[in-house]
Amino acid sequence: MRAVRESRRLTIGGVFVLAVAGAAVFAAVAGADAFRTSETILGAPSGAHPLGTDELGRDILTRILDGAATTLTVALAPAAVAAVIGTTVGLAGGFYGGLLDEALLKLTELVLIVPRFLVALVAAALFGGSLWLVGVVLAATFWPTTARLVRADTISLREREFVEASRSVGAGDWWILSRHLLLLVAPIVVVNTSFQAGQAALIEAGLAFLGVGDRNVVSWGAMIADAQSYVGTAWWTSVFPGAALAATILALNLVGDGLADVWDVRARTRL
Amino acid sequence: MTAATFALISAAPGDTAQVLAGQAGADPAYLALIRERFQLDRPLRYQIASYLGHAARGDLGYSPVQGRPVRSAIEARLPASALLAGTALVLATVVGVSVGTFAAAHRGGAVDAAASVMSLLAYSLPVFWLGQLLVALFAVRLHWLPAGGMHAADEPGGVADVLRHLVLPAVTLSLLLVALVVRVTRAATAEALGEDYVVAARAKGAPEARVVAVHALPNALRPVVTVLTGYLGLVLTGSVLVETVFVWPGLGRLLYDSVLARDTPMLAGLLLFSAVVVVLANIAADILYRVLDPRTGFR
Repeated sequence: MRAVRESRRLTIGGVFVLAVAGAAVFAAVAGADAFRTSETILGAPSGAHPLGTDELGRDILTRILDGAATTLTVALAPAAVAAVIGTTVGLAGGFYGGLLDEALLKLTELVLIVPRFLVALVAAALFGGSLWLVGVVLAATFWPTTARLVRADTISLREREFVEASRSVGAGDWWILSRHLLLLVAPIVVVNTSFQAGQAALIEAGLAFLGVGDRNVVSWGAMIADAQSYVGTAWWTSVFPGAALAATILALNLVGDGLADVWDVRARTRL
Repeated sequence: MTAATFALISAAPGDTAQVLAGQAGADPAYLALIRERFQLDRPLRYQIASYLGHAARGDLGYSPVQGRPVRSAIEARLPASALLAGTALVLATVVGVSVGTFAAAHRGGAVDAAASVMSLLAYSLPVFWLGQLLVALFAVRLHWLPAGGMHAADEPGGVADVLRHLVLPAVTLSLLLVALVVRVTRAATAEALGEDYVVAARAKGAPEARVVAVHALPNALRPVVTVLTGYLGLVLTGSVLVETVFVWPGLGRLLYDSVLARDTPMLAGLLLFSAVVVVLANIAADILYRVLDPRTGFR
């Protein structure tokens, strides 16, 4: 617990992620219309519009608060799903070996050859980039990475004495997997998941920036794309949404880095 | 993978013939003509088999959207992408290795701390946002550099002109690579500095700069090669965002246009091409390992 208090990165990152979640909840409760236009077109930050207005006179602060939910959903949900699938497959593959293990290795190689962003881009452009679709593509391309990490750890853990000791007192496979190995691979999964969450937020924003994102929700990436023509004269249209996006991704990465320090997980989880 | 591309595109809603005809609701006879001309009426497995047969002979088919063979479209865009990616890689190697080595030699120092913060930031900054801010500052406000494109509209062609256009996109694209290289170089050099042969070099009185540059650094380069070659495929095709922000006429931009135009042959060709680049990069990495470490000699 002392290590947790000592990790400044974890504290800063964690507090900021919670603040973004708070902003998302606040936006949902306050219910201000993020799509409402006004007469004040490209208005500089002022009392009425603290962060200014965009090219349609929409309030940028309202839109940023509303976009928090989009970014957090797309960041956390696919990474969490990938963590569950990846841990399950990785544990099974590493523990039992065999055909499942072979298939897992081949699949990971395939996923690593084609960049994740390209897969998401092609899928979003062809099927319409709803948040659901982007989430599914991300989860589908994240879990093999997670599974590979878990598999590597499981292989080195399954030969250790405590597994044998557990067996000698009559524990079955299920008991060993769920009571011992799962807890031991959990740190690397959690660290990897927070990095993947940061990457997911980046990919969603990139898709929205290219105009193939979900048009029914406010996305910080789409706000940055809208600002493209005005950024030279109305800097606030790009700077504020971009800063919100960068800070959120940074916070997710800080949480990952901080947890890796606290649990002493080797920093081989990037990719 | 090619098969997956075809399956994905044909499973998508909408019709290639419709897109080619330009407008929804085009003359049915005209649509039928297009289908026959580009064999869109054949079964999917026939299309895939036919494609692979031709691809093996270096023929990637014809892109109706571009109005030219896929291969020539790729060849036309390749120089621009190679120039951008190559510059970004060189930049990342030079800056990354020097900063990483310095940080490792002066651990806990100001450069080390700054490098650590910078690399965290680089992982988190969206490249398209960074590119946009750089354009706003250096092109729109200060007028130091052009905002986009590869040549000046009024006086194209000169080397200096291309270089001026290259600065901003190359810096933007290299940012993440620099961060990766700094991180890897620092870790590997720091580890090498703790090895016995470094202690021995210090014991015989070698100056610190020589210890770092001659004894520790060469052994730290292997992971750097891994990082750079591992990201080559990503740099070449993954530069979609950077090429879009800076209107750079490369492969990333071509890929984006092909996605929007539903240009199946072009997409399949580009994905195949990027896979080939990834494989070639891996071979290059193997060769470089052997140059860097004579112990793993050629067999």
